[in-house]
Amino acid sequence: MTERLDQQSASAARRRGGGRPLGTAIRYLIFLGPAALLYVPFVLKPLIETFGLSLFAWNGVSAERTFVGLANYARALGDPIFWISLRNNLYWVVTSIVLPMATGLVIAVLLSAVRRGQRIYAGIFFTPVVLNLIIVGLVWGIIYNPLIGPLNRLLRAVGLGSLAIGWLGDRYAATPAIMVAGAWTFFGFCAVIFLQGLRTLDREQIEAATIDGAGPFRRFRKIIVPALSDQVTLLIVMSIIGSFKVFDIVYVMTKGGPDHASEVIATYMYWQSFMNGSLGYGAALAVMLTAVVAGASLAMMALRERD
Amino acid sequence: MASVELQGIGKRFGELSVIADLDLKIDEGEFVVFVGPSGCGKSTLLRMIAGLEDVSGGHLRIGGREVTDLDPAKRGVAMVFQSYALYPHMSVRDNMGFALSIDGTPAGEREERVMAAARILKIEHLVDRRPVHLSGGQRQRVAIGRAIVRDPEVFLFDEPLSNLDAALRGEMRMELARLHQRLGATMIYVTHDQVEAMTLADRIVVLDRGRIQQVGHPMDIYGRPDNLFVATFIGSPKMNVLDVVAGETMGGLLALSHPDLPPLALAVDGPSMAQGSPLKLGVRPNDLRFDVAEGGIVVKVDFVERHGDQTIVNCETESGLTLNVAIPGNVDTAPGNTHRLGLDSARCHLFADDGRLISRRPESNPARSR
Amino acid sequence: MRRRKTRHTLILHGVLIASALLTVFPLGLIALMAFKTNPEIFANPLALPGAWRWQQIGKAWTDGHFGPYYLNSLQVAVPTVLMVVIASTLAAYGLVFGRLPGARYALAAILLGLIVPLQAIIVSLFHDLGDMGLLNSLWGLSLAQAAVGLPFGIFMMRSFFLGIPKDLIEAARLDGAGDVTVLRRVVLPLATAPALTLATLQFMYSWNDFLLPLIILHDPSLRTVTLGLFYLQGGTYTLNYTMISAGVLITAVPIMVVFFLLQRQFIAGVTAGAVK
Ligand SMILES: Nc1ncnc2c1ncn2[C@@H]1O[C@H](COP(=O)(O)OP(=O)(O)OP(=O)(O)O)[C@@H](O)[C@H]1O
Ligand SMILES: [Mg+2]
Repeated sequence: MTERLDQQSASAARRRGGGRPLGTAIRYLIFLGPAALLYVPFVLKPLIETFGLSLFAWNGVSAERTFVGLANYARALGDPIFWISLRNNLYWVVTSIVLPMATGLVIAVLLSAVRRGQRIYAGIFFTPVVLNLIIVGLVWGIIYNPLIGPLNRLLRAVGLGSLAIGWLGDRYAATPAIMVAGAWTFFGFCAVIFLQGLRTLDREQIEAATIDGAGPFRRFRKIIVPALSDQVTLLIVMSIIGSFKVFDIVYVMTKGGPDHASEVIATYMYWQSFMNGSLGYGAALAVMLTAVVAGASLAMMALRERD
Repeated sequence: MASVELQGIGKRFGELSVIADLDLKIDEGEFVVFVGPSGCGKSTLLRMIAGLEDVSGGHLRIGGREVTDLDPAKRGVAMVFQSYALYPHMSVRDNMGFALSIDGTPAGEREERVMAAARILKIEHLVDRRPVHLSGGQRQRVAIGRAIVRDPEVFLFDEPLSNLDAALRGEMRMELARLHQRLGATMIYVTHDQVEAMTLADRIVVLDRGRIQQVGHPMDIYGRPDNLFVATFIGSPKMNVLDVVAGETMGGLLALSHPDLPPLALAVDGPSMAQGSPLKLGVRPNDLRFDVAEGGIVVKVDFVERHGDQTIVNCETESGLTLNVAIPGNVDTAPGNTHRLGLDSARCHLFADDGRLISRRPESNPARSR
Repeated sequence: MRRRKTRHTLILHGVLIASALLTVFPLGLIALMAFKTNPEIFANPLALPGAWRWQQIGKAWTDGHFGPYYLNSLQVAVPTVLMVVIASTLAAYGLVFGRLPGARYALAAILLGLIVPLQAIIVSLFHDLGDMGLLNSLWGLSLAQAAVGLPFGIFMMRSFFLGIPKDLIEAARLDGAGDVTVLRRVVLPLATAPALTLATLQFMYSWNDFLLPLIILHDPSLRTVTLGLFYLQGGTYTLNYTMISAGVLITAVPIMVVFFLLQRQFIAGVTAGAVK
């Protein structure tokens, strides 16, 4: 009365290689081996070495390194250029929170209101995000160019010729000028993130508020902005991280000049390490930069974990 | 088909001991159902038999062969998951034939066996579809089909029907019973559902907190529970439990008292009870008689559930004790009405305060089939 | 009412189009410059070129060595992408399904790489690459880029794998699949979409990377497109705006074309990459 589906011998007899479970050591080797081969020598080891190096004085060439303890860190505290760099990083933080986020939010709200062409608009606003910062730096370098730049032409045309300066060569104008270029590469990103947030916003919520008599401005402030608080937090933390890591765009536009006026920690660290032959000091700067960025990144992960 | 033998099986997750020193022997071709409250270790036990979970201690034998440390695939078991676990990127055919393609069964034979299983489950017309294009019931069949194709010695089911709606669940339940008859394979089945347990099982294993509370034929589990836990866990609506106090023992009869009950005496064998010790009296809702002329327990009706085939009346005694009564067919009453419930001492189960069995309802139907 | 709605839409599109034009204005300006002569540029940077001098683009392409640079960039980006996708997928699979004792320590080490900026390792990496003879080599650059991109790759693939039901893997185990078969026949077919997103993102990182090529590649013939573009503004071409503009055009247009073709992928990738 029992019907066997398979009259043949138990299939266990035929067994090929792929079916075999692997031993623990072999699993480690196969799965984590390739990653370790890249990660250990090219990330982990240099990271540890940087911490070590920050305790030494070394010019990068000679065989001898002198142990100086925390002197490199102390040196930073008395170094005016370090403070200029740090101050500029903080300017970057503030600007990149205010400028691109505000622009991005407005654009996102406009985009969420159109039915057709949303993807095309989003693509255009997103274009500066995918361009590399060398392109961005060169493009904006020309905009700011005192001889041929359209910016000064425009100022002269509207009778503000007295404001026409050599933007990137001016110690007060250089940093703000670079930051505007930086904002250009970030606002489209903010817009896309906000747009994603707005998609989850209940359309009926807005309609209900309209029926309740809330005007567009009030709707924006009372409903849309609070609903985007997650996105705002994310972008603020990202701005902080990005503002401390900023390097390429400054390096290509001013190399930190004139006379270190637009220097940020990353470019100053590069200059000390690769141009000035102070590798130990450069390493100390790198460690301090790492502490800030790692702290902000951890905060970001904690935020992501939360939801 | 093969027997399954668990000997001193234990399982710990770190410090937490989930199953301790469990012994169980399942015969060839038997259909055994594990039931128990959520978190009692049913799935863990099943997964240890499958080899998906290491055992922390003890021995496991399938068909007399020691498999304690054997790889899951080599134990000759197949498992049907609650989530079905169908490979989403493969057609039904490839899902069912996956195991055979791994062990190198030739394509022709593979196709034959897949189609044979599909025929049994009436899903031949679905073999080229992807799981996303199937209904819940169809996915369930494919999951079972995937197990059948492997022609395992032992089938393992972990709550396979719990994602289906009630009607489909009933249908699949009968289908599974038929399948068991047809294949004659050993089947171990985990469920929350009492009806599934009662109808499918040759033997039910009732688990609580990682321990076996009772093993036996469904009618035995229902009619002769070994302890208060089994008594209240099996049976729907639940057995009524009353806190009573032991009185004198005379001539094998133990007197029990409860403020709401008329005097009552139960036949007990074994050591006599200390007078005044607290006991638990259990009586199933369908063992209470509704509306006796005189005597009995005076209750007020709280609410009435009419199921069509039976009526369940939820009542309250004067002291606030809640009792359920199940009456075949319909009954003429309404909330607020007063009735008298007849309690027959011959239909009561008696447990010690800690749940141990003292005396149980004599078997009503000794000629049960086995 | 209907008319009011139409007018609203028109205004909305008007504002958006104006913003879009403003956004691309700097790029358009440079594109025009590429066709102008230097005197034309000095005369009026906003005017249209007197003629469409395609030969200037051609000249910039040859003089800027963009042909070899494009090949160099590809020679760096392709192995980088392959290494990152393969190593990340394997590692993430191992961490999620590999039953590896102590896997959380490996995970912690990888998360460390996710929060540390490139600047933290750059000086020591430079010297280590020198010790290994990998300076001034495209392979060295590939390896460094892949290593730096790896933590994010693992993180991304891991979050995808965590979403695969464990039952599916266990069903495959019972069906007789070993680790390699589970990976090859069950997990990988499900992971193509995230792997493609990761590949796109990593390709962009590699292509746009500036700091690593800057310190690793010294030989002018080894420069990547991005590095080559950077050096266009130095040296002999200091004041040659035509050349710079043409260089920007040559490097930006392919990126933009690829972006518009793979827009969905790009935006998904970059927003997913927001953790980095
Ligand atoms: N991997 C694990 N780590 C730690 N504890 C676990 C693990 N798996 C199960 N447990 C614990 O073991 C106990 C038994 O779990 P199990 O899944 O076997 O219960 P169950 O009887 O199947 O419950 P349910 O009916 O809800 O499916 C539970 O307390 C559970 O929390
Ligand atoms: Mg379970």
